[in-house]
Order: sequence, then C-alpha cells, then structure tokens
Amino acid sequence: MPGEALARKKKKPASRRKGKRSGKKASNKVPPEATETEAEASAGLTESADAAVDEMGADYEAPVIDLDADDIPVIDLDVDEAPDDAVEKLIAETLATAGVDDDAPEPDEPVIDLDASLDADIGDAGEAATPDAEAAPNEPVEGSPRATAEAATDQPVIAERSAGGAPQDAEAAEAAIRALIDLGPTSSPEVRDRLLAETLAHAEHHDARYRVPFSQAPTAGRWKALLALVVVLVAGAVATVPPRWARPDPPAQLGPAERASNLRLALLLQAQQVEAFRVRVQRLPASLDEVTQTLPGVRYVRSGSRAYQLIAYEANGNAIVYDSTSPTPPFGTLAPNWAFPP
Amino acid sequence: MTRFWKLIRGATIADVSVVLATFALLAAFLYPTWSARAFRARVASAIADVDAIGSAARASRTLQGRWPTAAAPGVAPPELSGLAGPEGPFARPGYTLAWTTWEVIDSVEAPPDPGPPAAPGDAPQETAGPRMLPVPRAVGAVGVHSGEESLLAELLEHYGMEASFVVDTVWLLVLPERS
Repeated sequence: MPGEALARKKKKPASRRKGKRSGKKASNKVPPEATETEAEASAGLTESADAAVDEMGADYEAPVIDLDADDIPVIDLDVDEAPDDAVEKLIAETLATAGVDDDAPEPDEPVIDLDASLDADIGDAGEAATPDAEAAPNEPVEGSPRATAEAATDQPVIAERSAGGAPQDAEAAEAAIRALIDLGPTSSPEVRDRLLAETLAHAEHHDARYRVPFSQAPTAGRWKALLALVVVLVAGAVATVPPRWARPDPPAQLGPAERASNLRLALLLQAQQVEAFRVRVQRLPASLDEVTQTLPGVRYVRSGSRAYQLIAYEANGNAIVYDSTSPTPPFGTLAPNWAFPP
Repeated sequence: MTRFWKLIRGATIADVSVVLATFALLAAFLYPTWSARAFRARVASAIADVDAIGSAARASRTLQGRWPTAAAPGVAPPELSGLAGPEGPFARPGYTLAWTTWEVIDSVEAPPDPGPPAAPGDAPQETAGPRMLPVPRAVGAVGVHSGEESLLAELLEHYGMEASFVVDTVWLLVLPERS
C-alpha cells in the first residue's frame, strides 16, 4: 500500500527532523521505522507494477521462470537496468515525490521561541499551497497547535485516498501520489485574520513600551511661562501708569504764566545792561555784542538814537517785547530785589 | 560659586522667564523712586553749590571791594577757584555752574545845580525838583546751565522769582547787595 506508507512517512516529520537536528545526515542514521516504511513502499510498488503490466494487454507474454534453473532472472529494483520502463518511471517518480531522497540536505530548524509559531504561520500564509518538500522551514513546529491540527486534518484524507486502491497506471499513480502530498491551502481567511490581529497586537505591545503619555494638564513649565507672562504684563502696566503709592512726588514744572514772567525778568535785566552801556558811552549799542553780558533767546532792535526794543519768544511762539520808551504795565509790576538800590 | 552654576544649569527657560519678569516688575516699581531720589540729590547738590558760590562771592566782594571776575560757564573765576569740583572747575553731574556779573541802573539824586549867582534886587530862583541821575551798579549772579527743566524749576521754586528767573536753559540768581 504505497499511499499508506507515504502517509505514515508524512505523519512523522518530527522524528526525522530530530535526527537532522543532531547534525547527522538522515541517510547515515535512518531510524528502523523509516527502513520498514521503505520496504513496504517497495513491496507495494512492485505489486502496483505487476498490476499495471497486467493491464497493458493480454498479448503480453510473461517469461517463464524456471525455479530450478540457475539463471533465474531477478528483478532488482535498486539496479539501473529495470525490467520495464513503466515500472522504472513509477518507482523514480514515487521516490522523488515522496521525498525518500534522504541525501538531500534539509534546512535547519528555526530556533523555537515565543514568536516562532507566529513567524511560521506568517510564512505559511505567504506561501500558501506549496507542496514542495523544500518548504520544510515553514512547516509547523512539532507540538504546536497548528501542527496538531494539520495532522488531524491530513489523516482522513490520506486514509480516504489509500482506500481507493492502487492506481491503474503510472499516471494515475502519480496523480494519486501528488494528491496525497498536496496539503492544500495552508491558511484560511480566518487564520490570516487571526494572524494579522496577533501581529498587530504584538506590534502594539512593543510600541507601547516607548510611548510617552501625553498629558493634557498644564505642566509646571507652562505654569511658569504663564506666571512670567502675567508678571511682565503687570510690570509693563506699572512702568506705564505707576500706581499712586508707588509714584514719588513729581518735580516742579514751569507753567506758561511763570515762563512769561521769567522772560520779562530776563528782558528787564537785559535792558539794564543796555542802559548801563548808554550811561557809560552816551549812546545806544549797535547790538548786544557791545554789552558785557547777554542772555540767551533775547533779540535787540534799535529804533533811532534814543529808543530800542528787546524781544523774547515764548514756547508757543508769542513774542514778549520790552520797549524802552514806554514799558508795558507787566514790566512795572515786576519788583526784583536787584532793581532796588542797596 | 559652584552651587550658583549648578543652579543655573538646572534652570529651564520657564524659570529664567519668571526670574526676568520678576526683575522687570521690581524695576518698574523701583525705577521711579530711584529716579526721583537721584533727582532730589541733584537738586540738593545744585542748591548747595549755589549757596557756596554766593557766600564765597560775597566774602570776596567784602574783602576786595568788588565782585569776583565773571567767567564762562563751567569755569571758576580765580577768586572762587577753591570751589572747583573733581569733574571740573564748575561742572557737576547734570548741570554746570557759572559766575557772572551784571549791571543795573540806580537812579541817584544829583546835587542841585547852583547856577549863576543872583544879582542884587533879583527875584529868588524858583526851587527845582530833585535831579535824578542814572548810576550803574554791578551785581553778581550765579547761573546754572542744565537741559533738565525740572532742575531749573526746582531752583526757581527754592530761591523765588524775586531774585532769580529761568530763560532758555539757564537759571540765574542775582545776588542782592545784602543777604
């Protein structure tokens, strides 16, 4: 029964991988179960070959075997000279498809960790329905839930296929073998959704480690900045409009009337200098440069040989005039102490 | 010093802002008071300088019979050289002192003119009123030059308009003959 034998081989991948994990080739250290399986497979194939030969036609004339003769032809399946091309092809394809070639190196088993099953599932999802023997690294780890589920799923399929009997010809046998080793899609939409959800949850868990909680509440720095702003505003208000209790007594200021009186006093004193010059020189000065002292902002205008005017201007542009012939009454009200003789 | 630098290194921008704002608030409260105090100090210094110059000038006039020689603003006359300050002869922070002499006209009653002698039998001459003659008289004055009008106003308020006045950027105190 080749199907049963191959199914038995397929259900024991872990034992073979254990042998590989020790670093030795499978061909050098094949377990006894594997040897028996190969023998059974060879026997089954021989029977299948005989059945195929029977169906090839009735004209096929089987050689007469003389059991007593010494040159009894022995069909050795292991030798290159096969008795029939069909049988040879069937054996070769069966061995190749079933993965009996233990000399082919298999990739090492990935390190089993917490994420190994997840990675294996993701790899299987990406390589859906690839029944190649080289896809061994993506096979589920022994003992994992997925491996157990797949094994449980494969068992009835293999049993069903095996119950169908041996293939009638080489092509049927090949198709049967291919159907046996075809595991079908390795994942379903539900499985993919579950894997995607687990992956996203895993990534979210990793990202949460480095996520800094953003607080909506004002921090101390914000409070300090707000306090600084308020203090600056208060300082600006105090500097612009200081409160009464923080404002010292203002200094004295000159009003317009005081300015006018001061200008008249200045003109009066300047007129005294002109009169003193006239007393000494018996004439009016041509300009204020001839008198000993002058005050700033006072202009001198001589009108004739006996009269003159002194002019000063207020801040608003009004002119204050002292006429020597008839001083205005405001000048008469001035009573500076220096105007009186001692 | 090390603790200070450790404190500075640990400060944030918010801390520095609070400190600077506090300094600004203190400055806003204290600057008017500090400025007024400095101004009062300048006014007191100017009054003291004016009084010192007036006293020295009167003493010089009493001793020498005349007022000290007039000098340009900031220059002390030889008679008052002892009053020169460290920043210059008559220069002070915020103002400059000056000593000047002026002339005023006094009306002095002149003696009556005898005229030609009267002949016998003539009628007596009519009595004429007193004859007034203008006589110049020198007075001394202390001037304060400053661009700060408040300082000049304070000096005017202190000495009164009977003896002083302000024109342009000068405050002038005319010293009477007798204090």
